[in-house]
Formats: sequence, structure tokens, C-alpha cells
Amino acid sequence: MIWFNWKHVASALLILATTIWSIRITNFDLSKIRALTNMVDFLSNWFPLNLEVVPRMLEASLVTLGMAFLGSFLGLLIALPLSLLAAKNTAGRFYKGTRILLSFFRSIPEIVLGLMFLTVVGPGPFAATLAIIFHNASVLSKLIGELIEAADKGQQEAMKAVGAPTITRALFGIFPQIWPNVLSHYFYRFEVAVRTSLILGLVGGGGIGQQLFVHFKTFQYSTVAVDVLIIMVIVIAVDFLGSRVRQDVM
Amino acid sequence: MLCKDELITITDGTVTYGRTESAAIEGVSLTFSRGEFVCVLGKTGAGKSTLIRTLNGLEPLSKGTVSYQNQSYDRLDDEGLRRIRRNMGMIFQQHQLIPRLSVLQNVYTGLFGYHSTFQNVLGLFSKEEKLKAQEVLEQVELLPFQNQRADQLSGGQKQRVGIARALVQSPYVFLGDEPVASLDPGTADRIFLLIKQIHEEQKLLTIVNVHSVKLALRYATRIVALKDGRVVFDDVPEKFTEEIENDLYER
Repeated sequence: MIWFNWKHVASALLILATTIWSIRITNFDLSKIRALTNMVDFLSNWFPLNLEVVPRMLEASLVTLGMAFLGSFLGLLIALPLSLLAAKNTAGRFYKGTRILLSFFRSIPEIVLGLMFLTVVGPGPFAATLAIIFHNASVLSKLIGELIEAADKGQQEAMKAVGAPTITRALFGIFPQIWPNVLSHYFYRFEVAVRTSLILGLVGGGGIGQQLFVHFKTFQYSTVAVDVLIIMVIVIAVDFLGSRVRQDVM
Repeated sequence: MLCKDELITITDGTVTYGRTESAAIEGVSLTFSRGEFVCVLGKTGAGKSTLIRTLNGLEPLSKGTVSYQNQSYDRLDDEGLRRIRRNMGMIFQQHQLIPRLSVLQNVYTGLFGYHSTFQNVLGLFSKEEKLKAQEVLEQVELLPFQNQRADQLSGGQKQRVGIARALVQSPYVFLGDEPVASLDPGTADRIFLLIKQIHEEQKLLTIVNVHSVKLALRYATRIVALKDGRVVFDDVPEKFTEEIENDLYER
């Protein structure tokens, strides 16, 4: 065995066992897909599209976009300073505490956060936005913290060598080099926030997510179809915007 | 102004990394004075880079002391070290410019040692400092490029920006950690000459690592040679014989 050792074999067996276990526990059975006609039947109810609702749904989708943008952007603003406390090389003795706190916050599902904020500010986009800010601040702090840890030491040393004060060192020795990656993470989180805000619609978070939920529950499938199409367009548009900005920033 | 010529002293300097037995530099004692142009020679891994980096405290000593104008680094806090570092311009092999910033902005980063983070971020530099930035760019012949992004320049030009950044500090000391090692021979020559010219104009203390013995012999006023972390030669270039050179590089 030139390329593999016993550790590789053991890992392969472990992965195989996990796969088999997961297939059993999820009732994963490809033969059931024969009932594909059911889905065709379901989807056929979506047409013709209920185009009347388009203006109203576009309005709702603007609320969704607003929630997603504000949630991820304010999350980023909180995360930027916090990430310095979440990176081994800049946090010093705060590192462990911050990391534990952040993973605790990240472990709270967004929908639970939404329900919690809802009890404070009542149902609607505001509660959903708060949940998205909270979640993204903790996710982005961790991600940017890892970028800071992997940042090239040379520029930080150069800033040290000119006698720059500590915070100046971080701002100029670290952030310029990781900036494209920070934006890349940010736009991905923006895209995720769009999808999160849809889920938060389930608990009265407003926006097109809530519309989708209501239409689905009331069997208005031709309206559901319009909702889904608009959502797809938003997600693709955000992704496109993100890659454009990243290109320009490189 | 300086009243003494002795600037940097390292006494019994030893640096060990991690738990390894062998030291990067061991028992190094040297005194550097104003006006000297010191070239540090030695094979790869001989401790040249470590030595240079101990001189401005980038690399702390495991044993011994380094001092600048009789202020020992181990007794200084972060603020005290800052005050010392801003008197020393450092030039790196990979220039270590800040990406995404323009040539002029990179030169301004050399002023960071004299200001608070608040002033640095808002770019609150004095009129004299701004003039100084223009002046040093003129000196390294990059004035026409001042608004170009530094990461788009050639290797030699980037190193000139690195020199300008060090110069704008109005330093007493120039430290160079292999400043010409990544450049082609012609460019390396020109950059080295530029460093020497600045050294003479400003009457600095310059300490530079080099691979090229030829460059060292041509420009240095003093050669320090390291072998396995120890000083094996410390004298004027005239006394650096071929025999010593062969022994140093084990040829």
C-alpha cells in the first residue's frame, strides 16, 4: 500500500458504517421514487400562475430583501470588531471565552431566536431582522476570526516595525489582505439571510416568506408558484451581485 | 538629537524556538554605532534574519539583552517599544506593503508610530508629514506613481515603496532583512545603491542581511558573519578574506 495506510482504511470503514446507519434512520429508499406522479400532480396545480398577485408579492419581497440586508449588514458591523476577539492571534486571553460564547449563540436555531424576539417586539419583520442580526453576528465573527488567524504575518510585522499602536496594526496589517474574503463571506451570509427570512415568515416574520406560508396553508398553489419564482429571482440576484462586487474588490 | 554614537547593543543574545535544543542565534554580543553600514553574512539558517529581527524587538531574546540608546527592551512595555521602533525603518524581503492601498497611502503608514489609532484611521497627519511623504517618494523616484495601487507595481518598485515607508519615519536606523534577495541582480544592485545613498545622506546606522558577498564587500563598512547562530567574523570588509568566505559557506 503506497497511498493508503491503516488509518485511511479505518476512516473509510467508519464513513461506510455512518452512511448505512443514516440510510436506515432516514428511511432512505430510492424505490419509493416510483410515486413521482404524485409530485407531477402537485406541481400541475401551480399552473396557470396567479399573476394578479405579482405587484403585492413584489412589495412583500422588498420587505424580505430589507430584512436580509439589514440583518446581515448589521451582523457584519458587529462581527468585525468581535472577530478580533475570536482569533487566537489577536484575542489573547479572551480567545477561549469568545469562542465558547459564539458557538453557544450559533447553536440557537434562528427560528427560536425569532420566536424569542417576537415576544419582545411583537410579530413582524423587526423581530425577524433582530434574529438575523444576532445569528449573523455570531457566524461572521467566527468566520472572520478564522480569516484573521490565517492572515499573512508579514504585513502585521511591518506595521509592528513602524511602531504602529495595537489597533492600527490590526486594521492595516490584517483587514486589507482579508477584505475580499470577508466580502465573500458577507455575500454568502446575505444570501442565507434571504432564505432565513423566508423560514422566519413561518413564525410571523413578514415578507414574502410569510405570504408563501399562508398561501401554502390555504391551498392557493397558483399563488405559491408566483412566490417561489420571486424568491428564486431574489436569491439568484443576490448571488450575482455578490460575485460582481467580489470581482471588483479583488 | 543623538548625543552618543552607540545606538544598538546586543549582549549575549540567544534565541531558541520552541523546545528545540539548537538556538537560532547563540551568545551574540555586538555594538552598532551611528554611521556604520553593516552587512550580515551567513548561510541560510545561520541566524541572520533572527539577528536583525531581535534588533527592533520583533523577535524577543530567550537570553541576554538588546538595548537602543541604553534602553533595554525587556524592561519596556508595548508603548516603550513603539517609541523605539519608530526610530528604526525596516525593509523586508517581501516588502510587506499593505495591499489595496496606493503607493502614497503605503508611505503614510510609516507615520503610524507617531500617532494614535484615531489619528491614523482618519489620516490626521501634519502638513510637514505630508510634505515629507512627497519628499521621500521623490527620493525613491516614485512620485509619478503615488496614486497607483502598490500591489500593481514591479518587485523593484515595491521595494522602493518599502524604503520610502521606512524613510518617512525619519529613522536613525535602517534594518534590512534580505531586502534584495527576491530581486534580479540588476535591480538588486540599484536598490542596494539607493539604500547606501540614503544611508550616507542621513548618516544612519544601517544593518542589512545579504546573500551576495559581492554586494557586502562593495558597500559595507563592517561585515558580521554568522555560522550556526554564532558570530565568526566581525570586522572591516578588507579583512574578509576568501578563506573566511569559503569556510563560512562551507565550500
